[in-house]
Amino acid sequence: MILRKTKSVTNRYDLAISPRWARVLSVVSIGSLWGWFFLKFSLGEDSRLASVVGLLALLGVGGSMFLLATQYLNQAYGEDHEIDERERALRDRAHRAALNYVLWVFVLTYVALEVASRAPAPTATGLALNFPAVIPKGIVENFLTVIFFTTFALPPALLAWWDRADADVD
Amino acid sequence: MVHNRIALFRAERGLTRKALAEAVDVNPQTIGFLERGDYSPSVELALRLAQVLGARVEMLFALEPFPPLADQLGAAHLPETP
Repeated sequence: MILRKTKSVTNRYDLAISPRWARVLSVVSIGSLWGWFFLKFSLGEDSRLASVVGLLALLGVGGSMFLLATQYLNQAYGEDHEIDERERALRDRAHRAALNYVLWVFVLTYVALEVASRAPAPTATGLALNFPAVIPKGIVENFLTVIFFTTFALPPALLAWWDRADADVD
Repeated sequence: MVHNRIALFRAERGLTRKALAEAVDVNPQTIGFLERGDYSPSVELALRLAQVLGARVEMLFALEPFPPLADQLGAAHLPETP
């Protein structure tokens, strides 16, 4: 890994990693964050797997932060004058995708809450949804943490997936 | 889709993608996208490219595919028929 000038028109220096590693990092970090949330939700606080769940949180947050330190941060969150017209178009596309992601997460969460609240009692179906009648503050905080980090990491992650640097060897 | 001859003119001028990118103020990757036809430039960028490459815009960009260079050269050197 090297520190390099990532834009011909700016003086910003970011951690430069290959698109392939950035793609792996994006899947690991975003996947870990959602894995952490669902495992913590399902297993509760007093699980023997608490250390594994904690590791997922570390992977998710650490991976997201690392991704945001790479060259894709400048592309995803750079000002108009820092990136060229093609990058601006890609940046806008990535942010539209991130907005769609947030909207879908909220729609699906709303649907899940509605379904869970109307589901028959576990004794009638033999199926336990493990869904609390009142959602604890901790679950809401975890949910917001996942939304915050994944939404923040999504634009640079998408730019890494769309990057074709490998095809531009001169 | 906009077709272009950027790669041809760049090679003829002896410019690398990086050098051309610096001359027109874009990321070197953008030159690759332009040459492959994966990205159509704005009018401003097309004019800057034409200026740097010393060509008219319509020599660099066209809405229809450019004919092969060999055909054009062949046609230009055909002997005149009486």
